[in-house]
Amino acid sequence: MEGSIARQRMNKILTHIVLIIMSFIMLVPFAWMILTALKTNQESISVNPFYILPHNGWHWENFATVWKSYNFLILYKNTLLMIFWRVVCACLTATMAGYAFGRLKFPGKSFLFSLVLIQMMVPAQIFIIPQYLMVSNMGMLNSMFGLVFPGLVTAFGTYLLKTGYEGLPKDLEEAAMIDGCNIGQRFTRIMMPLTRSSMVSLGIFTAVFAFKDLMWPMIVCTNATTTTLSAGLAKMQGQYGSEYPTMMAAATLAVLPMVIIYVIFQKQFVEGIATSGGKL
Amino acid sequence: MKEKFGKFLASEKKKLAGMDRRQKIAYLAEYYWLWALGIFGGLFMAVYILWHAFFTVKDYRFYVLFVNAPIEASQEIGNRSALRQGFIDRMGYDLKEGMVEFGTASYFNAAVDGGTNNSYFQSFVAVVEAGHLDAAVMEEDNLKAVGAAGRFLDLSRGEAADLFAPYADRFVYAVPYDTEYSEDPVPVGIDISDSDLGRMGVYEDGCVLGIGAYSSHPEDVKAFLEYIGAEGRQP
Repeated sequence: MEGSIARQRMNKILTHIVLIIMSFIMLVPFAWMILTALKTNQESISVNPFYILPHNGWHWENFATVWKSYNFLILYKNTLLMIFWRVVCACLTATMAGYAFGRLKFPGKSFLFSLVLIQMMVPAQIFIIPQYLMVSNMGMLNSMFGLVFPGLVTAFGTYLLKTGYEGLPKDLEEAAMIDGCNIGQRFTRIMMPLTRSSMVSLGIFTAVFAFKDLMWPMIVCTNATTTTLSAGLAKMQGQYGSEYPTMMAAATLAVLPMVIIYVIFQKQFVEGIATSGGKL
Repeated sequence: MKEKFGKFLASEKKKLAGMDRRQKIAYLAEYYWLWALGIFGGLFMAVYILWHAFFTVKDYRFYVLFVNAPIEASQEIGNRSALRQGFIDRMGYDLKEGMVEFGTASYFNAAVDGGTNNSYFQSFVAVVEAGHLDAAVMEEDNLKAVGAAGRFLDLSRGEAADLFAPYADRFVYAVPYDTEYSEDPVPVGIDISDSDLGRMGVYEDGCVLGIGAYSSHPEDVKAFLEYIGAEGRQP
């Protein structure tokens, strides 16, 4: 009996040790990024593994250099606005389409939903050129609409919300119908609030993918005042390619909004991943 | 369907008939706010898109991309450079009518990995396919690989043959992947290593200029070649 308890305790301790080590490994790139941002260029390219901390003082001026060179406030504004509009549009269109596909009966439903699924099976890069041409012909290059455009609708979101609506009991909707609710009221008052967790998952996924999106902002926004953090960072790579502290300072500044969003919505992030079974 | 909708409309009209103005608004807000929001949103989008389609600058007047340009080069050849401003002045471009792009944020080597999984290469392809890219400057092996895939203009055919004939001794050739097009090497680029770009040290190992396969302004590319001091010989 005592041996069993001791073994269990030992297992627990070992598990925790492994988890703590793994957590440290996960944190190394972030720590390395921040510490490099505070070093001199010479220190940053030193291959000595014991040069983890800056030896010649903490060079906070690296942050000032990138802040001055690139208008980070504009990059933050563009990125956050793009994320906001993409999340709003994705949630709005996906919840409506998901409800239609999940609960309504209409001719051609299966065919239309198969079109949605096909869109998920095709690599996103295939849509880049037609989407670019559409945005260009609409005169929307270098605009917020141009940035948001690919996120107006989402096949993944439609699928996610469809399964969410399908999982809800029919009785709820029927009861609302008996009480005199029309389709709009049934959707907005009864069904939509019940898919909150799926919507939160979709919002989180959309926000993270929008934040990480590099290719689209790089194509549609060549102007420094309309571009986003990811594309701005890519341009900085050109400008500061061998100045690693400056690059890392820029990267640290770039990840700040996402870290703040994560800290605020940590619970929802975890729930979202659990709900959708996806990975970010 | 039409009949069903007609019945629905008649029943709603009947309901509204017995209400005063305030009740009508309250009823519509209660039952049809989602529809109203959809119509308002749709109209807003339509007006926004039409406004931009008709009243904003949407075309590139000239688009050149400096691929794998080294670190400091963006100051010398990028969108804020004197090189770009000088070319705009020389050509007399009106920036209200068309954008002039001297892009430097592009890093790929199609000769090594064919551009696979490289966002920069994919965005380069999008700009070429859209017909926006007029010219791209890069290393010779890189340009040959891109040119072999048909993304640069064949300088031996059509209008380009006459236009770029003075540069025939500088042509860089590539064998197209599309063997139906040609099994022999075709000229896909012009060596500009001795131009201002070469002299500025932007490309230490030499550089080649390719003209976008769907460029609408090959004559402007020729003017650009003259501007950067890549001299051609009269044939």
